[in-house]
Amino acid sequence: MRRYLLQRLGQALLVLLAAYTVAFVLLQALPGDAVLIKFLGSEMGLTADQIAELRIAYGADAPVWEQYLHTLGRFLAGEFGYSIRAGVPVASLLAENIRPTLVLAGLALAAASLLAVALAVLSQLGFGWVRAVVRSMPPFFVAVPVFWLGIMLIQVFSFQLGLISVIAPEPWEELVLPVLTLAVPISAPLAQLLIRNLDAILNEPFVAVARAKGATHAWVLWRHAARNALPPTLTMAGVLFGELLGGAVVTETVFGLGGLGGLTQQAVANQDVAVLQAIVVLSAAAFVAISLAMDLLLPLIDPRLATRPAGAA
Amino acid sequence: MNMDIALRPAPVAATTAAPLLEVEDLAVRYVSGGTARRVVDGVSFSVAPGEVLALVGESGSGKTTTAQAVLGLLPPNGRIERGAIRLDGTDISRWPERRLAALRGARISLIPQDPTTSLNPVRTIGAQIAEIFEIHGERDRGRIRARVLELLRRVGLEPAEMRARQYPHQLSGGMRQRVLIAIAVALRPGLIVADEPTSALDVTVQRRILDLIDELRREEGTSVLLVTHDLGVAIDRADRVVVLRNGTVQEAGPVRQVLAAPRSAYARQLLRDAPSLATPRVRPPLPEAASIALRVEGLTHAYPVTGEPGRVFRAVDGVGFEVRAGTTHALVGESGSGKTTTARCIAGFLRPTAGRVLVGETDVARLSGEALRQFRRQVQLVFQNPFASLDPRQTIAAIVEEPLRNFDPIPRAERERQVRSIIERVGLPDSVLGRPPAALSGGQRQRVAIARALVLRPRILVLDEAVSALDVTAQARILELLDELQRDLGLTYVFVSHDLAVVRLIADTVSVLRNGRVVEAGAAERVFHAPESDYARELIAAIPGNTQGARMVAA
Repeated sequence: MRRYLLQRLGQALLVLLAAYTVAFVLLQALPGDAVLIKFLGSEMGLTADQIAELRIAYGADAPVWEQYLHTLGRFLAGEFGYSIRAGVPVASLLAENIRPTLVLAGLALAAASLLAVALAVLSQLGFGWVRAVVRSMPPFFVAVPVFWLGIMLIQVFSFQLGLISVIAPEPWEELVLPVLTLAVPISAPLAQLLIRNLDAILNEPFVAVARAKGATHAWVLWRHAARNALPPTLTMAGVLFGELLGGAVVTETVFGLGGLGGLTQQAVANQDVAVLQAIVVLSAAAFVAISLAMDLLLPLIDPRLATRPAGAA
Repeated sequence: MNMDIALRPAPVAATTAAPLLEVEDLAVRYVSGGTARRVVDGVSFSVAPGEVLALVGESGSGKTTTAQAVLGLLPPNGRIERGAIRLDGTDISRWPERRLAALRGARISLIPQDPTTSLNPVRTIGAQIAEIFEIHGERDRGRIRARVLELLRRVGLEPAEMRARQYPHQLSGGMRQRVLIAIAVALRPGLIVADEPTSALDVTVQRRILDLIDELRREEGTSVLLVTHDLGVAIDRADRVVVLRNGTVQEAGPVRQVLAAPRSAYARQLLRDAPSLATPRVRPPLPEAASIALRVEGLTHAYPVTGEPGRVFRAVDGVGFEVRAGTTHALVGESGSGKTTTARCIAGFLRPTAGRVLVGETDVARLSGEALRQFRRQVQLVFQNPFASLDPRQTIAAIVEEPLRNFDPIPRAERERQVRSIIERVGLPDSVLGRPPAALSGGQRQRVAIARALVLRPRILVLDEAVSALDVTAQARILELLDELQRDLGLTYVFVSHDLAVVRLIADTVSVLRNGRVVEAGAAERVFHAPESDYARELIAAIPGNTQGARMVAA
């Protein structure tokens, strides 16, 4: 087990290095740089010589490979450099934005999971038309545009029903609508996958055996089907969570929330290389951590998956 | 030959006691896509306490549907149209699900067909046996645990404490079937429905499992409804037989009577088709002059053992034999004997660790890349499961045509002509060409698989358990087809099977494999009638229906 963990950790570091390198190359390939974008504007009134001096001060004039090694060295030391746009350390920018993003993504994923499980259970235990309606929900959910959903929720809950105040909301109030907005579209693939897996599992011979023991539909669903349907759904949830960390831009914008999504969008607009570089590595780290967590978690649910790491230990 | 299984004596009270189960004029219908199909039509039979009744028939005969109806477990699109299912005199055929659920497990239980998929892979053996007590209201954890361990010991799974903690994938097929038997007898039900309980198992395991069911049944006086396609199994284990075809009863009566004097044409045909009862066709004497088509020398295939560096497992260990052109050589053995590994080495899908596989002058073991690809024209493989070996999204025409497209370019019209001719050759109508595999029966699909293998005009056909997944009737027809093709096209077969009865019908020569080694080899008839090794004797004794009485009557 220990050897397996060390192996996986080594792989994770390689993935991070690769992500860092690819991001670095792509960002270097962009025409112009952040210094030019910030200071070339006519309103600054700087001369070409002054800009050249600034470029030297920011290290933008050094050869590419030197910049690569230099920033890599600093990354390894935990130093992410300065945002050229905001003039503050990247680390503090990230720290400021990570918390709201984690809270938002975590709550959204939890809400989406609840929604998906509810749909999946109804799709199996509901009767007649209920099943049919429930089964048509996931495609519908995924088709709803996020910005529209966000605006509609504000319209209905805040302006018409007056349940959630828009001006100076409580911290929890501020989160209800954005969490809902994010949860609806990500619940769709989760629900779809759960429903499909449950359908397949309920056709398995071991379910017939369970029913022959006298088990009811509900018993079979909870005690047999659920645990078998879980692993693929968890994997999917992990990927969705990773995407949420940097991908909630629209929701953040609609609801005026700070977060990594917005930060990324600004950094791209301004070619704020240091910030982008840090965000890329951070996202890669998040994905690596999630997949490692899944690999350690799934064998606990499905013992057949445990054979490989046990053999490697 | 030493035959130690005797025909079962008729149960004393079978005719006088009130029947435990009575099925009367049962009709079941499936509705799919707006069309209704009646699969069981007017079936009646009864099972006395302590009696074993066998429902025998080919796939599609309605035997499994009848068993499902008795359990109240028809698929969602199945409906009981008319008739009664009486348990101890009470008609349960119209009972609501909740009442039936209370009955299942406690008074009627099931031993399913395929033990490998019939246990939940993510729960322990112990939990799955304990579950039947929990469902039926037992709350005392200590009592449940004691019963679980007792049951595990009773079905021969020791040490019980360890087995209870294991997961299904850590047990062999036979052991898993023992677990399922433990579940079926846990609450001492009056009736056990055994749906092809051993069809997925090796013959020797099959025999031990059937013995176990017999023993437990006798102890408790339980009745058994035994569903099987194998008349041999029915003869060995049942008191009475009901022969079904197309959802109707063809014949019913005590085993002796049906066996000695079958009244229906269909029962007579089943008796002819059952490999263990059939008289082998006299095969033409081996052509001495015929050249050697395939020679295997010192074939060894070893895998490294996971987690134990340096240790290897020899799946095949020094196997050698030769096959004359135009004859059939059978590789016989149980799972794990190395027969499939040997077959895959011959077909060039596995590279042996050592040894030679000579087809003519070519050593298959040394081929790779393009040479190996070209070699595939000479040796083709037919797989066991015709449901899995055909691409469900291709039409039959596309499946059979594909090998032709992989080699020298042939004009489209010529390809079509060849496909048509080979489809006709394997005895299928033209009309199947445009259909997907799902529209065909198991036997028809295996014909397609044979057509696909033959379309390249190979010299050698490796048949890996090619008839094992089929019922006896389809099996008999495929064996006839293979025989005919061999005579007409001069093909050489390597026939891999666990079933000595089938091997005896088709093979000229046999190698009996065990743990990767050949334990006996020779002419098929000789091995069958005068086996020299204990293992071959054991395999022969395990063939169902292979009793003195049965053989006397069949001969």
